[in-house]
Amino acid sequence: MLDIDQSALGADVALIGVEKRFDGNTVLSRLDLTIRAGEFLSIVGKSGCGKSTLLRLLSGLDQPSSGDIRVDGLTPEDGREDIRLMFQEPRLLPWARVIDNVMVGLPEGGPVAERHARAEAALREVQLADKAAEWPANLSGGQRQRVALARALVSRPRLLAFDEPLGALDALTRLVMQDLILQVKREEAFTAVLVTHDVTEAVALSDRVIVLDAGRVAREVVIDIPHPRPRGDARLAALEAEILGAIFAEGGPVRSAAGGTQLSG
Amino acid sequence: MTAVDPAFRFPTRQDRKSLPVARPWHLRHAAWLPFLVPGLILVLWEIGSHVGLISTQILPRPSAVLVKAWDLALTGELFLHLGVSTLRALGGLAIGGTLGFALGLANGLSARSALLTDTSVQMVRNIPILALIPLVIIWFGVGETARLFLVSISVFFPIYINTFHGVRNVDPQLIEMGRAYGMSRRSLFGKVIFPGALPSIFVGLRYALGLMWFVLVVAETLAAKAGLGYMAMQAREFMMLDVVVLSILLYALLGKLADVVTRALEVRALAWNPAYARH
Repeated sequence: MLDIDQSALGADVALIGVEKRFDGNTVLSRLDLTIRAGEFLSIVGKSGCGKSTLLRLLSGLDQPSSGDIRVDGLTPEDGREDIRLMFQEPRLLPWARVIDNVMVGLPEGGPVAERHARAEAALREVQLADKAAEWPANLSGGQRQRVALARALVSRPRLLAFDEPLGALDALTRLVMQDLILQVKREEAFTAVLVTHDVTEAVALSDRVIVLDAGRVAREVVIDIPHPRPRGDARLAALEAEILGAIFAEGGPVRSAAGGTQLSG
Repeated sequence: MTAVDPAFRFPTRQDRKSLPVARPWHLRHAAWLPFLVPGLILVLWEIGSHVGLISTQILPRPSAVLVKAWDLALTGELFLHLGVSTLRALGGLAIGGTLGFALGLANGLSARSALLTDTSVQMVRNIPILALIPLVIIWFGVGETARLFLVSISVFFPIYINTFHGVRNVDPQLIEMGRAYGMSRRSLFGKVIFPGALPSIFVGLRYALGLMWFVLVVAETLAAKAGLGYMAMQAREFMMLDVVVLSILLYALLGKLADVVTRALEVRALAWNPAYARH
């Protein structure tokens, strides 16, 4: 495998004792996690386990109640162009043409021609170069999410966070999008963090999967199978079963609602 | 079993395209169809006058109104009144519209500003504007200021309310996206909030244009020296029914013209929205 420059663009991520509370509810409790440059990490878990919150902290949309997050040694904040978040919904501006939507992902200012050229390159990467002048309303759901991907990619981020970006797509479009994400990941070599409900998707895409339960890491599974991973592979199926088992495990290490048990570390 | 024609094949998309598809009747005549009903009414009215069904003492015939319009156009009187009325309408729209737009934006963007002023505006809004006339006359006399004030205040409210509402209802997910993608406050406003509020602002503008003409008619009966309302009042004094009817028809035309202009603006500004795109 040609694994020369995986960290050329990817960011190192470290979470140290990160805690997030909303109105007295602890959503994330003393979370420690490191993500190495260029890694593809997936986070799975039941609804309300804190996985989306974790992603919002990583991308700087929210701040942790305590603890420290470092992306390339710096605290994440809004609008850092080396950190990009892709939402579950495309969130395109309906009144801006596709190319202008992609340019939203570029830092403001700079020569127009260059911005245009970069946006066009990003659209080519998601195979939508021919739709540059369309209105978002005239695209299919999968195409809109590809425009959103181009918008996230256009500033060449070092960390790309995905908040269930394929959750609203039909099954076939999903598979196509998964391949596309893997392809751009290979080309751009960013660090990727994917939050998903779909364990099959997590196993198919990532290098490592963590199961989040009640705000802490309940299980960590390394997927040491080279890409391309054949769909329906027995080893993948076994890993998937293991992860599902961890998600639905009764009486796991963390059960108490009023935070307290210090079992797993 | 019936034999299948070997040459048979299912029609392809290409076949369907090349078929001469007949557009529905109403779409083929979309250009003149809206004027069918008004035209028909005019014709019936004219005939009714000629056969004596409609007394010309009560309602002059359309042809007489047309002749009168021609006369007044030749003397230049018609254009004087039209011009004066249009200036008043646009002046009031500019003043009231700008203020309504500005306050609507301020209250949509700042919760503090909304708390401070929205309740007051809502209270004033519920006063019928025409009930203010006695007060307005005492404040401003019967001059131009009074008329401008009445028109301004009537367009203020619909534009204020719809701007406020439009800004408040911009998709919060888009605003969050803008924040996450590092938009400055200025581009957040210019690229997300203003375009998002625009459809609602247009609704306010159309409503304001209707009110604008309505209030202007009344305002022009207040001892004006020119304008369509004045022309109608003068004509009533001398029982010149053709002029009265002419001014009414002119108001209808001006209202329609304002609507056409707004619609054209909408189609241009809201082309992204499938609901506004031309068929």
